[in-house]
Amino acid sequence: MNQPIAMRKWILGLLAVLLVGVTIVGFSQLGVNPTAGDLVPEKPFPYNTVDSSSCIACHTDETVIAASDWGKDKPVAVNTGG
Amino acid sequence: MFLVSEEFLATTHGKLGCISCHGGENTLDKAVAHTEMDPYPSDNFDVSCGNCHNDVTTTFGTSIHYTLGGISNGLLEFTDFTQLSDSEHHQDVFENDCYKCHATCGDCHVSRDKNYSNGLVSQHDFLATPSMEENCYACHNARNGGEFMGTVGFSSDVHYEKGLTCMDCHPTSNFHGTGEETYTMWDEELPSCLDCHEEQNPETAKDTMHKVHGDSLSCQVCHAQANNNCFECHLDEKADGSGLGSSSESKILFRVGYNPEISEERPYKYVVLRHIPSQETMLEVVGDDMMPNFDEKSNWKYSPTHNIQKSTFQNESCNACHDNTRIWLSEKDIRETDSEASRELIPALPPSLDH
Repeated sequence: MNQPIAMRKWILGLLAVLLVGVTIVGFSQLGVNPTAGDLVPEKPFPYNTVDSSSCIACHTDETVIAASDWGKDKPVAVNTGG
Repeated sequence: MFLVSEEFLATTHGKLGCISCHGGENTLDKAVAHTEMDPYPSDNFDVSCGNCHNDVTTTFGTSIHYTLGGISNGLLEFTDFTQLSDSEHHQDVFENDCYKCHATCGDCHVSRDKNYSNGLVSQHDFLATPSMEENCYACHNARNGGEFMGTVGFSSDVHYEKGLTCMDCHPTSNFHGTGEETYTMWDEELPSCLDCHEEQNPETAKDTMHKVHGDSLSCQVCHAQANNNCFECHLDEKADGSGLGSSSESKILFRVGYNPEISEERPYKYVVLRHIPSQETMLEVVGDDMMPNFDEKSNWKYSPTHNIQKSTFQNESCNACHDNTRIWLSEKDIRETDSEASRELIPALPPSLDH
């Protein structure tokens, strides 16, 4: 292979890699990739919320709930007559 | 039982914060935290769920799942009042016994029914489509739900075996209401077998059995199995003093009789019947002569039994039905405690084919 042909192939390969790279970055900037930076800001939660961090602290803790007696007097799968 | 998942907290409902719906206080002191806490916020669905879902809550008050109109009107028909609230006793019975089975949003979409096993179905996840096993079955276990799933009576329903659930046949209006209160479930837009099995319409069917019998039989007469019947219902004070409770003897039977509810949608002459839990003295714990019209209403009712099979013992051959006196409601089935009107459903036997 002579030198000018090898050089041309190398340059074409480099251009192809650059083209693919620019395309990916371009699409992600347009919002195709949802994790692509600040162009798609997270929407604020549209409803009124009430801080319930203490409720969550207990009700997501399996040991706390398992220790509770609430509702344990209720039968399981009772025939309701319905 | 009331464990809440991290996944739920990331959902729209979860982000609202527990107190938004349940009330209470945001403190680690358990007693204070639960002060005025409402475990069932959807009991007041207009205020709680209705904030966002008013397209549903505006009609839900008319849903038969909420009003239990079929039960209250059934009870009313045994009396000589025009409405249950005309009688303090009857209203009391309805509210303290029957009405405990009514459903609100949370009973279907979040938790199990209070009278079943209580607790959350899936760590407080809101199920857009309720779970048949955890929600529908919670209330309908002794009859149609249990029969459909095969826990009551004989085999389960062929539709259940194929993976169908209640919601595949019943339209949402059966649960959410339409805005117009119905007298009984028969006034609802109910599913019909012909919705899917159009080719079995007796007017156009090609097979002999469907053509010959036409509209004289409901589908269940040939395709349902035995159903659960309750007799001599009795109301009493619960042992724990928590109110009234009812109990009755139950029996798996298959009885066919005259259709007590002939209508345009269900014009059949013969239908499968089911004995409802009732007797004239069932409310004697509350007062005397509580059911003056008892003898005017039948204790056997039209049954859309939900345990369908293509092949049943009664459709095995012509004689398996026509000569089978055991399946037809007869004088022997009418108990001393049954109403006189029940006798009107005893059919003349179908023509014998032995000629």
